[in-house]
Amino acid sequence: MIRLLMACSLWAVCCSIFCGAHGAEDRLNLIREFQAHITDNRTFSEDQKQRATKRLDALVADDANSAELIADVLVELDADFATGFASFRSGNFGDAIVRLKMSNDSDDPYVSGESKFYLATSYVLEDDHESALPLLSAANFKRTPHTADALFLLGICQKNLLQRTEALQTFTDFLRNYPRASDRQRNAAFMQIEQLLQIEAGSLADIYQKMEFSRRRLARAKANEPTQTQQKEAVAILDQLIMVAEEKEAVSESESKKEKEGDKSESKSKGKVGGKEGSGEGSDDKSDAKTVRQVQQGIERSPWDFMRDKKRDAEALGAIKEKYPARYRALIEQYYRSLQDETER
Amino acid sequence: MVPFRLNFRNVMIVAILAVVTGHCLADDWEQTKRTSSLGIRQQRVKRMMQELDRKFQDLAQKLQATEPEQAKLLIKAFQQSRERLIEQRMEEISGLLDTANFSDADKKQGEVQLELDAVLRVLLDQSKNWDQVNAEMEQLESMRKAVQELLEKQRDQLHETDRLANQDKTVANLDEQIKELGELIEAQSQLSQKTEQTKSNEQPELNKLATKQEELQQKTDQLANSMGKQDFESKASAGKPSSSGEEKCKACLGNASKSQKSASQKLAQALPQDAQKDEQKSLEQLQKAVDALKEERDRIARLPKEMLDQMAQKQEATSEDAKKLIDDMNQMPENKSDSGPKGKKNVEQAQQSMQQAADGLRQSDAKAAVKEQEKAVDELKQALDQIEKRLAQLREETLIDRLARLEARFRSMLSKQTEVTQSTVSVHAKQTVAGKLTRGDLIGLRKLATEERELAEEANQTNEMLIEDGTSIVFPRVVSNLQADLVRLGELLEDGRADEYTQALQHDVAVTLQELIDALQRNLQKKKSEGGSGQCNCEPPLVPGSAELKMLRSMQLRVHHRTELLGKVLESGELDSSMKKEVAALTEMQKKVAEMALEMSEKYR
Repeated sequence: MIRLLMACSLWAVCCSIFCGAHGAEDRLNLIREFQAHITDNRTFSEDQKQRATKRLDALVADDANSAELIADVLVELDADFATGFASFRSGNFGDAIVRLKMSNDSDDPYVSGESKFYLATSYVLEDDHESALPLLSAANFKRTPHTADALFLLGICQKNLLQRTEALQTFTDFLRNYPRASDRQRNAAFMQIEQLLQIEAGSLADIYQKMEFSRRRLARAKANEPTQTQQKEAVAILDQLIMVAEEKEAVSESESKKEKEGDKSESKSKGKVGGKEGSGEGSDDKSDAKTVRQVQQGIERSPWDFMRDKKRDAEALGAIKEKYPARYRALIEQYYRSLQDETER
Repeated sequence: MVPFRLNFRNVMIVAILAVVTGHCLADDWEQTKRTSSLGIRQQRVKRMMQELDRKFQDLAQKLQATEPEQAKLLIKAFQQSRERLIEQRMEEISGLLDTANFSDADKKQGEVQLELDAVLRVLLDQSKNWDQVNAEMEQLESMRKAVQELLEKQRDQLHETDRLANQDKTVANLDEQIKELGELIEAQSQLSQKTEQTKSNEQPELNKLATKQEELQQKTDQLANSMGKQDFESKASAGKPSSSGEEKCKACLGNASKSQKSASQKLAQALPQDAQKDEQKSLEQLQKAVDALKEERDRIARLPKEMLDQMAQKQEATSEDAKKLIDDMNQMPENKSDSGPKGKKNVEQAQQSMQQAADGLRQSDAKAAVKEQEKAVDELKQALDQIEKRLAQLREETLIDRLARLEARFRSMLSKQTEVTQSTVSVHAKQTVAGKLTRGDLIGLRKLATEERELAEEANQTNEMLIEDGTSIVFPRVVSNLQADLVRLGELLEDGRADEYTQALQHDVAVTLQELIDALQRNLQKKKSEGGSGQCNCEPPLVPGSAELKMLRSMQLRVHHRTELLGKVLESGELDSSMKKEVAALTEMQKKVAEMALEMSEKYR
């Protein structure tokens, strides 16, 4: 149920992109080219052409912004795509994958583009990001209204395949390339970036990502090397976290002993307890929370703290190098460099 | 405290068992007429009892200084042992056994056993103690809440008096803040206009704007932090906004700061349109803040000197509340180690200061009233501190008890599981030799299945305890998995399966139980060495964070090992139905472990 809801919300974000993300002129050009393609194509029968043209006109009149406009017309022109798209629409993504694979390599660029998009989306909704990733190359969607959607989905796949630097870049590209996308879509991309930056290498959040990666693969009966590698890495990080947590607990234990001794001598000398402002400092629970929190270095910072483009500020980069663990540092540096390249271009 | 209790419990149980064993043996040996050896055994039990009595006295002396309660319990037990003439009765039993009077010996042994039980109950007079502890904790909690409320009220009154005592200065400070806020609004407005004019490809310009926006955010934060700090002479009243107007202003500044931060980040991201939306939001919040501050300034400026009478009335009402609290405290059973309930003296002192503050206000001496109100606030803070310290100590004590009970439970479960596993192995060995299971074996396996189901029920009950405790993320889930494994074991054994698969699952259960025991034991030892006097103002966790992480690690390691096995199987062929089940089970297991990691990550964030 939760998965279905998540799938629906992801799909809702994708579906609403076309209307805002693309300009009116782009949209009209796309429709005109598609119209010409139907008329000029000799592989379609006259009857198919008539039905498709009629449908296209009706759809344009109804809602020219619809992201499914081309797909709705292709239903009249390609039987394989029609069944695959029907399965997709009814939420039967497993079946959609089987059927859309058949129209995926069509010679017709529109059928191929739409099939690839709905196939990739079905894979994503079925948690099979590995299969979706190669389909989401921008070149596949030149003749579709899905370039923005595909970029967003690409980011999702990269994120779930633990390609965090790439995902970060993809969502940033999305925000830059589609400034007219709705607030909802842009917020979704901002949120993804925020989440990505919150995943500190070597933290419990990182472990969770690795475990989730493993779970998704196990669900598809993939128990081979990539699954095992991530599981091993999760255990190795836990080893580190345990070591650090034990050290911190030992320190806080000795500190609390000292505090207690201090308290005793203080109360002996004063005969009266001096109250602290508020209450409950130095609690065990809090010190435990503090310990694990400290272990999860940097998680408390806002991810946006790292987002500033200080491309020519060598000092800032130097500070980042000192502050953060090697793997995370690499991610941040790469991110800054990508922003720098972008600006210099 | 507790180690001593447990040691004695064990010693007493040994003594009782010895008596009981003697009792049972008597039945057996009656038939064989070997009376002299039974008499010797009874003498040995008597010597043990004498030894115990001596230990009671020694330990009581040693514990007198550090743990008077436990020492008292020991002395009571020793006295009961004397009063009940246990040693003499044992001597009598010994004589009866020597003269082959088994019937009377048997009867007297039964009586002695009952007497020993009674002594044991004195030593283990725990239920009553813990009831008392819980009652005291409840009372302390309600006292804490009452003192906190009183402290809040008194602080508010102190703020108000302080402001009236320094009315001109307060108004001047608020004017200064309004001016600063006005400048901030002007700067933010200009920045917003510049943002509107800057295009997304003008990165250097956007960077400058981002820096400027960051500076404005810092100024906003500084202004918010300065609220309630500048305009008070009283240290006790500093740092807290004195009125709803000022609180509202501070909240608006907080919101403005958030929007400014977001705007700055978006400017740095070359997203000026998004940044401008945030800048507009921050402007709205800044405007709301200045309105609230102006309202507050006007309110203070209009405060008439006659307000002092009203304030005196309020102060008297708070003093009455303090009196009621003192009455409630007097109803509490007195703490034996102290002259009265925790914090009572401080509340009494606070109440006196409140009364004097009210008198000061009646005489229009606001400055004198402020001093008395400060004293009252200080006394209430000390009262709160004392109550919290006692609460923390009691919480630690109950934690030690919980840990000990849980550890004992898991230990008992492990012991039972070990026996069941051994029986399973032996049935399987017989099956391997004979090539099949006999009817007797099947009956035996069904018995084992029942035992596994009983263990599952125990796991279920333990899990309820853990859930109720609520301080651990990993433990309840581990025990829940354990319960599921035990149920599965019950099914397998019921189906006559004593094979390697069943044994592997039994091994897993034993390993998990041992891990749970180790984790609890470590914390128990740590807590005992600390002496059970924590400073925690909240429910102390059952186990430390490192123990939770260790359990998480071992669960993930188990998933990994099973994945390795599955990987090998999958390499060699297609998935059959049983392997599909294994895949589903393993995926579910990985999901649960991942959820635990996520929950821990969120808890400790």
